[in-house]
Amino acid sequence: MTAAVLAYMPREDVGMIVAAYVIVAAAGGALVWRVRRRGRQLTQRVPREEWPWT
Amino acid sequence: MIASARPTGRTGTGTRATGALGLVTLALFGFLLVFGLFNSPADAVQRDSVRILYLHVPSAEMAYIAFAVAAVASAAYLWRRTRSKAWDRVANASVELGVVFTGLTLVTGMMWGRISWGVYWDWADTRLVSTLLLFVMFVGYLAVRRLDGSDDQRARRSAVVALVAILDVPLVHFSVEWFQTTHPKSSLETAGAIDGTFRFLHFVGVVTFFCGYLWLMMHRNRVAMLEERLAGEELATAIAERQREGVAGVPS
Repeated sequence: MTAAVLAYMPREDVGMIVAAYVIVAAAGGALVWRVRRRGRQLTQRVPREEWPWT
Repeated sequence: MIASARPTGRTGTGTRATGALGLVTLALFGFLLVFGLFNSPADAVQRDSVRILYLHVPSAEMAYIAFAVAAVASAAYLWRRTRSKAWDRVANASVELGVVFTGLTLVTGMMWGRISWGVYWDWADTRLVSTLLLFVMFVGYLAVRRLDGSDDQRARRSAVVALVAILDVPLVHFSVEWFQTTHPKSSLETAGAIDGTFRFLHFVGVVTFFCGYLWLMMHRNRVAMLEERLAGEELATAIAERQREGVAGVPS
């Protein structure tokens, strides 16, 4: 969206488009953060040589 | 499991392979963000609302894939010859991600609808309602997994729910052909309906979401494997303690 586009588009529509990208990024980020945090918690309780994927 | 997987030297479920996949996903999403928001031209018909479709269409397609994977894994669990906890883990992880992708499909679709139709939602539209039904049914799957029972009971119950819920996917996909809907028909399957930029960005979107799906599936599966192992250890410890208490409590 260039400056010219932003000039003719209603503000609400611009907000919708940007919000769609923000929501997708936030949902993906939240999933990644949650699974990584849980992984860190659990791997501390299991000896490294017993991790099933190594 | 990936053969080249090696620990990265930190705690966590990451390996070099998943690290590389994560970086590729991040780079692709960055590209999609910049190109989708700033560099791509507006569509001749849909104008700038087409930018939302670069997210909406791939997330809907990934939801189909995630639920199909969950259905295949559920069937494999229910079939005695292939019954394994690994299938149950795959089904659970895939449904969790499918629910998120469906949620994103609904939210981005509503935003696109607000710009294009002037309303967020149309209860008379079969595509929208069947997608909402799909979302609710797989949320139900996650609820069924949390019911009481043995691991096997929970896995079998939820596998049946997955196999019932997957029947809604063809209805969602073909609803625009079978019923009169406000939702547009698939432009991707109509020759000449869309230009090369949309096709290219749609492809980038699908690859981005698929890489993210793979990354999350691998990590979620590893977390589930550790959870199962620790739950087994905790159960064994609890049984041993009860046995010791029982022996100590017996009058001599």
